[in-house]
Formats: sequence, structure tokens, C-alpha cells
Amino acid sequence: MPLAFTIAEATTTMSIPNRLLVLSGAGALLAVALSASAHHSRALHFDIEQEITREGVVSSWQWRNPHPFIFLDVATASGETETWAVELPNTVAMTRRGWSPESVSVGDHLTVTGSPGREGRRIMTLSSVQRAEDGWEWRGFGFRNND
Amino acid sequence: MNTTQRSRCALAAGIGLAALVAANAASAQQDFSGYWEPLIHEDARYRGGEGAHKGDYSGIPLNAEGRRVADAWDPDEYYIPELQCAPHGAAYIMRGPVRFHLDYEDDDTLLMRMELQEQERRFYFDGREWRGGELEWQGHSTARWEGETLTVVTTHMRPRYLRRNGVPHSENAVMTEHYVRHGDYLTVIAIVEDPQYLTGPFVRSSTFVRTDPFEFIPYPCEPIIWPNGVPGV
Repeated sequence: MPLAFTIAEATTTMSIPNRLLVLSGAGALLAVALSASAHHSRALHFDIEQEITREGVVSSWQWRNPHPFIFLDVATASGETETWAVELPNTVAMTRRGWSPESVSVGDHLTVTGSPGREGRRIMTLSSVQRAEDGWEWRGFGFRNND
Repeated sequence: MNTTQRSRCALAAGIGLAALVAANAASAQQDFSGYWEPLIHEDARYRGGEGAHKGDYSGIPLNAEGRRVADAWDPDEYYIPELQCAPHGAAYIMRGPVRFHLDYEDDDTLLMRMELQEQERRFYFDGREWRGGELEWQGHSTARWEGETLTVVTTHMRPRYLRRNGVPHSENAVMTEHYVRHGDYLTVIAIVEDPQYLTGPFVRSSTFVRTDPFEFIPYPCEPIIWPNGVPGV
């Protein structure tokens, strides 16, 4: 049962001020970082139990909502190229974490880690990224720590 | 004490009592104006980076029809161009990572401006009725004070979800919210009633903390047209 439901149920017989004390106290004790999520539940589209790394060259960079995307061209062992779509949280969340439209450029050589798409889709989340050219590295969104 | 003196005392006491009541009435309305950001600790798993899994209806009093609709819901709906930029509806948006500003727009209207998805909710104190027309994501909200609690009733919401895994609410859903402030914390207790999909009231609480004024970060939205309808295929 979700925590909020439990608290709400448990406080229904209290006066509003007492309920408030319980709820705000819980808030103070249990406060966590602002969520990175906004639009859709990642668990619906990604296998969040897995983590993969892909290295390749940025073929397109879409700084937009509801989600920015990095399109990464990755060379396969057989010599072919496959494009991976790397989904980022919305631009508000990313801006707050220091990103901008200039953070990535077409042609950048990136190593990206995140959870893969379900059903074998070549899509993944972003939990960290490194750029070969200048050593830029960013680590952000894991799923277990809510950030 | 003679009759005249007793009358004067009674009058003075009455005036004092009236002044006390007036002072209490004036102070009964909490000041919610300012900037607020969420503490995502209630239902953190559903609201955080992981999100809700398909078929997880824990804590939601879904009836058979609600379950049928939720089970049939396709997560890839999110990638339909027309829906990519659709915001969360009023019955969910307060659960998102939404920072907002609250202040009176005029004597009868409290305006909630949200950074996320650039949404606005207006709480009308004059009891005005819904203006009609197309249903809106944030519905129509009337407000009243109950002591220090602000109670907001929202109706006429465009059908949307209660959880981001397709748990539906209908256009007949009614959401009653109680806004309670305690120091720098603002708790919103939301009760959704929707006999079409729920067996009973669905109760959630969301807590926000007062924060320093901040500039809203713009949220321009432009859908991506995926060649195969979904990314990565």
C-alpha cells in the first residue's frame, strides 16, 4: 500500500491541525530530492532492472519537451551502424541540473549509460554520459535514489 | 454593581468578544501566497524516476470497469504526437515534480502557476459555475475557507489518469482538495470521487515546502514524430 494512502487513512480520525502535524512531520523526516521524472513512467518503457552502455557519435540532438533526445550512432560488431535514442528528463529538470541546448553537439563522441527500452527497442534512459573530446562527464538519474 | 454598570460591562464584554471573533476570522485564512516545491516522499516509487508499472493499482479503489480500462491502456499512447505535449490533468499534476507559485489574481481568484508543463489552476471563491465548452485538463475549481483550511472542489476535468500507468478518471470525477499550511509546509489532501471507475473515494496527500522566489524555466513542447510510431523500432 502506498505510503500516502496509509498516512491519509491513519489520520482521518484526527483533527485537521493534528493531521497536519503528522503529515508535515512526515514531510520533514522523509523529504527526498525533487524527482527527475515528469512525463511518463519510465518503468513502462524501459527495463529499469538493467543497465547498458553505448558508445557512439551524436547524429542528432533534440532539446525539446516532453523529452530531449540524443540520437547516437553506434557501430556494431558486424560493422553496421545502429541508432540509439537516448531519452532525457524534460528540459526544466535538465536545466536545473546544468544542461542547456549547448551541452551536446552533433558529432560529439559520447559514452552513454542507462536502462534499455523494453521489447528490444533501441532506446535508453540517461544515467550518465561521458564525452571523449573534452572529458566532460555527467552523472544524474538513477532509479533507486529518486534522482 | 448597579444595572447601568452591569449593562456597560456587558456591552464592553460584547464589543471585546466581537473584536476577538473578528480578529480570529481575519487570521483564519492562511496565507498560501509564494513559491512552493514538492517533497516527493508520498508514493515516491510511483512518482520518482522509476514510475508506475503496468498493472500496479495498489491503493487505488478501482472498480471492474476502471480495471478493465487500465488493463487495456497502451503505454505507447505517450508517443502519439497529439498526446506527447498533453499535460498532466488536475487529478494527477500535483503528484508530479511541480514547482508552483500561488497568489491572488483578483479578489475572487487564487491563481496557481505551475512551472512544469506551464499549467495554471484557478480557484474561484465567488462560486461561479463552469463556463461551459470543451473540458480542460485542469478542470473548473471553486474554493472556500474552512477555518484555516482552503478547500478546493474541481469538476469538469478532461478525462485523464490518476496514476501514470493508465488508471483512468472520467469527466464526471470530482476532486476535493484540502490545503493546509503549517509553517513552511503545505499539505494538499486530495480526494477523488468517480463512481464510473472507483468503488469509493481515492485519497492522497502531497506535501510542498515553501521556497525562495525563482524564475520559471520555460517548458516549450514540440512532439517528435517517430517513423514507426514509437522510438527505437
